[in-house]
Amino acid sequence: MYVCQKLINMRYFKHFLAILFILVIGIGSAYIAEDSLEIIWAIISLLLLLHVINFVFRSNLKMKSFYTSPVNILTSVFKRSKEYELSSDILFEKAIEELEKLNDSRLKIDQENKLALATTSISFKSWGENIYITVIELGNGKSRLIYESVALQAYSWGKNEDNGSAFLNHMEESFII
Amino acid sequence: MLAKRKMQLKELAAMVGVSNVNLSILKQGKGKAIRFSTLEAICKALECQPGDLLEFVEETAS
Repeated sequence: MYVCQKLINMRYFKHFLAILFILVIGIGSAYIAEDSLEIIWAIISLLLLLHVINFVFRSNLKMKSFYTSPVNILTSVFKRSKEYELSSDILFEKAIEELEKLNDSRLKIDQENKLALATTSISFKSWGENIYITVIELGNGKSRLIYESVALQAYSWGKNEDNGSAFLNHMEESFII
Repeated sequence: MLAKRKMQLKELAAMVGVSNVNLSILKQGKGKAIRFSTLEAICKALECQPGDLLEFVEETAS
């Protein structure tokens, strides 16, 4: 019953589907004819090349659309946005202040476009994340903060989402001065 | 208060130990809350009372 209750929770159901997919591919590959092995190796090589490209260019702010694109099958994106009653200049500075508190991360800032990128390093638990913060002026003294976290892996086991929620909570708490 | 003491926001921020942007947020009244320690530090820096910095405004129903 406990397992069923967990499966009903969509997040765990998604993980269950992912594990099932991996098992099917793994077991299925044992039955692939020798003629198809070259195609398989070509696909694997392309995926590895894409993975390497993801790592090589990850610190480049201009490549944001490449990393957040659904076409990039080796990244998983978590996105949230929130409106604040602040000018974009102040909100962006505030967001930078919070990003600077992240452990083991490097920061790149584009002041003109109000875009910041924090890249976290590879660890035992993760291939690393690209965290993009964009601030858009809405007018009437309001701005929108857009948080996009890109995990450099095809599937996110939830850590991406947890980190994103934690960051946004810290952002809220930082308004207690 | 800052104008009276001919002090810039940057200077006050350094004295209080709070960042420029946080002090700007407080100044605009956009902070969620203020810690007593921050209020104490601002009062000490500006040589004033909390009442000189805080004002009660009744919320209007919208």
